[in-house]
Amino acid sequence: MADAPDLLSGGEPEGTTHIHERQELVGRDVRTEEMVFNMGPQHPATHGVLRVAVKTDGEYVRALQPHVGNIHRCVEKIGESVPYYQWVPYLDRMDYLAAMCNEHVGCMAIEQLGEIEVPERAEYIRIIVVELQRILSHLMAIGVYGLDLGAFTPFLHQFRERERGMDLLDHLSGGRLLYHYIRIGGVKRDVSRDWLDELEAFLADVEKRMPEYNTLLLHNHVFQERTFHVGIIDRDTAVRWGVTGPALRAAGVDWDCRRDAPYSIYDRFDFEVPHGVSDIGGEVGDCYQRHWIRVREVEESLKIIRQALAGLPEGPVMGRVPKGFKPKPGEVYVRGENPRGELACYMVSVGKSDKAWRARCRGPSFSNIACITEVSEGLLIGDLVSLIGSLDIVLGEVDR
Amino acid sequence: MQQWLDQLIANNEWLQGVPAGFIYTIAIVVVCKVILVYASLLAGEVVWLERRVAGRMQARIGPNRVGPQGLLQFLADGVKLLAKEDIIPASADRKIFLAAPVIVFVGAFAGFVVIPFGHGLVAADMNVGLFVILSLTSIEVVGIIMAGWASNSKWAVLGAMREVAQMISYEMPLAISALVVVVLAGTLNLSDIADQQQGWIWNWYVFRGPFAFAAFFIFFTAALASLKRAPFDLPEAESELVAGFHTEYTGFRFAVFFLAEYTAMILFAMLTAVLFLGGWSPGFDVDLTGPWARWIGVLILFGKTVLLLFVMIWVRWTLPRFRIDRVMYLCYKVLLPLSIVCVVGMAVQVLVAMTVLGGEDSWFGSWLMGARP
Amino acid sequence: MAETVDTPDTPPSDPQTERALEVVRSALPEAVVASELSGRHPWIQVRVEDLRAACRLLRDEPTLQMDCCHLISGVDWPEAAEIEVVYHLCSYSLKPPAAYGRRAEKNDPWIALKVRVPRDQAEVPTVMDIWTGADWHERETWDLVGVRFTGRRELRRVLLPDDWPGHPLRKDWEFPASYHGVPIIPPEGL
Repeated sequence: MADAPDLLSGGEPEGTTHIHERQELVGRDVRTEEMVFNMGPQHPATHGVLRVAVKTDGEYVRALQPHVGNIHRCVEKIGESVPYYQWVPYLDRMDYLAAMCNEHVGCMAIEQLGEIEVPERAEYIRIIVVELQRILSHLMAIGVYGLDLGAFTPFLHQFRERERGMDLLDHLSGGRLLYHYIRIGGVKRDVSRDWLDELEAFLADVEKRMPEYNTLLLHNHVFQERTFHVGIIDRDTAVRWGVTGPALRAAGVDWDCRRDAPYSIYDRFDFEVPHGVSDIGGEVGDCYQRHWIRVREVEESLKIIRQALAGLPEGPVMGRVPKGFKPKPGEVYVRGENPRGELACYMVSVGKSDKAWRARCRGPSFSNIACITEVSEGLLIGDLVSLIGSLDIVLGEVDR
Repeated sequence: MQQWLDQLIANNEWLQGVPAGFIYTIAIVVVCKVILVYASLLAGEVVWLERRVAGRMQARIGPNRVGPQGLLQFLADGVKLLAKEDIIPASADRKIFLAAPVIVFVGAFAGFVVIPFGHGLVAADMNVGLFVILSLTSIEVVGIIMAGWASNSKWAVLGAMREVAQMISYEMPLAISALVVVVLAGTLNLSDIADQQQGWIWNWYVFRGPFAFAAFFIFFTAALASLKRAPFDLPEAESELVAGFHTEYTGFRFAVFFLAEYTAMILFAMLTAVLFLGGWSPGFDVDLTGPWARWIGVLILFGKTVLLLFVMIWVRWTLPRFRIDRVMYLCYKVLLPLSIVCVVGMAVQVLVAMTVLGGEDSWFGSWLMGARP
Repeated sequence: MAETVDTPDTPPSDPQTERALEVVRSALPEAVVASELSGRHPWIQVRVEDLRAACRLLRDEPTLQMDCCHLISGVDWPEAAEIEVVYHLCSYSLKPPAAYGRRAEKNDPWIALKVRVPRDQAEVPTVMDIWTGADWHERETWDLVGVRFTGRRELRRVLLPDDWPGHPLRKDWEFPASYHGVPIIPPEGL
């Protein structure tokens, strides 16, 4: 019994009292011991090389500490050491599942720093590829979340679609995962009529098949039992920790950079921003709502691409970029909505140099994963996997 | 089988010169070998079946290179696993670590001795056959907790802990729903249980009243759980516990665990078929007791087994995994009360059939009380 | 597109930063050291000792409600022998007015707050108790730039190994010759 108060001490989140009551009952009769697990760096559910030290009491998580940095690749140091145009491909490697989005934000920052105009057609093509990338990234996230919860089949079905999308980007850029397609001042290559036709066919297929996939996961009773009321990141917690993206919207914050702080030409498109509400099932901010937001965002991205395709103007795809590009002294801070959250780029130039003085990136996963220390207490180990999976982190971006 | 051997000795002069004990021993060894080979081959093919079915469900192909349609894939896998280094972790408890796969293997295979494959085709025709099978499969738990503990790995311990909690819990609804059949049949002898279900399809125990029908589903669900098949595969939930109790096992020892798992699947599928789905009854009235006709029965039982295995595979590749508290909830708050209701209800049904409906004299009465009408 | 006429002579000032400056000035008259209100990257620089008070003000001010610390970055300025720590704050509770989004120069309602500390004694009070999310950003700034945040728990490195020599984003940082016996060959150009 003397052990019981120790188990109970330490900030416990609300709503988990029943677990501790049960704990007290156990503690009276049985001596239980806490055990520290190292989840990762090689663990199937940590989505890369995340290491989470979990202190468990039986199946319950008591405390937890994520350790990151295993694939730190010095993106910021490289950003200070190589010319601007050479840094762009490194941005691809940060969030390797959303390389186009990273390039987009990085190039926007450099273009603002150097006051480079981007042609209209290039802006439209950028939106198309970025939203296509968002669909691919969300398909991956939705499928892999099923895998985390033990459903293997939806994962492979979604990979079938993703494969086609990656082929499309492959035709455009020559790379399947890392593209270096968006360049400073525009995009590398123009899109062809055939490619656009193929893209439209792909969009139609995704639209047709999303309801099918939703029957496998979103509307599945076992899936709902695993995700309802699990890993709740409420509005206050999300905002305090700087959680962004689908996780922030699932917490009930109606905010999307694309709509509320429009960059590029997002203000020309009409789309909805889904955010967590209680009538779709579960609770605002739980794992189910994060998953639901992703499913809805795929639909919205389809809308944006269709509008961009309709409005795609003719013209050049590359703006005038001075040779030996040396921006004037100054700083910029650009943020953009990545599939995982807000990617922001803070760049400082001191002039007379083709290298940035400081190139700082805010990876959305970095902030998103930090908050699990607070929200994971009192969860079951299975729920912890569910929570980490629903945050959809990419370790390449956490560690940069 | 002893009767059959005695008959053989009586009819054969040459055998009469040999001590009977010797013949019995030889016969036991031969029969065990036959069953072992049969079960292992079947387990290998079930692995293949699972991979092919999963492939079809996941818009891919699955193994199709080794042998016709990939049927010999399990041989290739076996050779691969044999060629792997057999690693025993330095901090493992050596003896227990080595013994664990053997115990699990024995637990899974030994059950086959009481399974009737066809009329009279049973290695040990015991009066407590059902009881023996349920006890033997429980031995597996011991092996698994040994494996989990001896590995000296936290994941393995947690996996073994879940496994034990789950298997012991699900033994209860499993045994109680099997008891429904026992009440109906009035015997624990599996051959007799199967014999009583011969004839038309409504003679199968699953169709004898609502309680038996419910018991069939309870039994099958509980069997899935004690086999740790998805959606109850928490002990080896790869996304949570890496691989559960066999995290530290490699090569052949891992293969033994793997084989034992699939063998147990076959065992439970056969047991379900024998208990509820009429054993080797094809669903219409035909005599399958003759010396050659009984081999047709073997094929029919085999077909039913494969069908049940297919359902297990189907469920596994469709549903996400349950959470541990939901698994326990399902066991103690849903399946256990339901199975008790089924047993009591079945007892009342048999009682009513015997007293009010005229027992064996009327067709309906005997149908309800489980005899062959 | 822009509603205000942008001419090079009178660049429009950013309303968000302007408001923030007012708020900080009225409560802490001494705090603001320098500020830049127009252009792409408007900022306010405050004294280190007033940083926490200024942050609290910006968070609690109802017209700003900067409830999220978006990013903390450290910038090394060896010529001035100073390290600049930049806080980018933003609000998820308040939406910017519609007209705000149409401004050409800066259409994003964040605020940049700067402090400068001497290079050899880079110590900045923590803002972790104001925005919990600042935790890892502060750890990263300590890790890569070597700014010591005071008054918080466990300022450990977050990306680099615990025994890594120095802070790589300082301009005078040199590649170590070896790390745990493994020779390090700096890539060309670094």
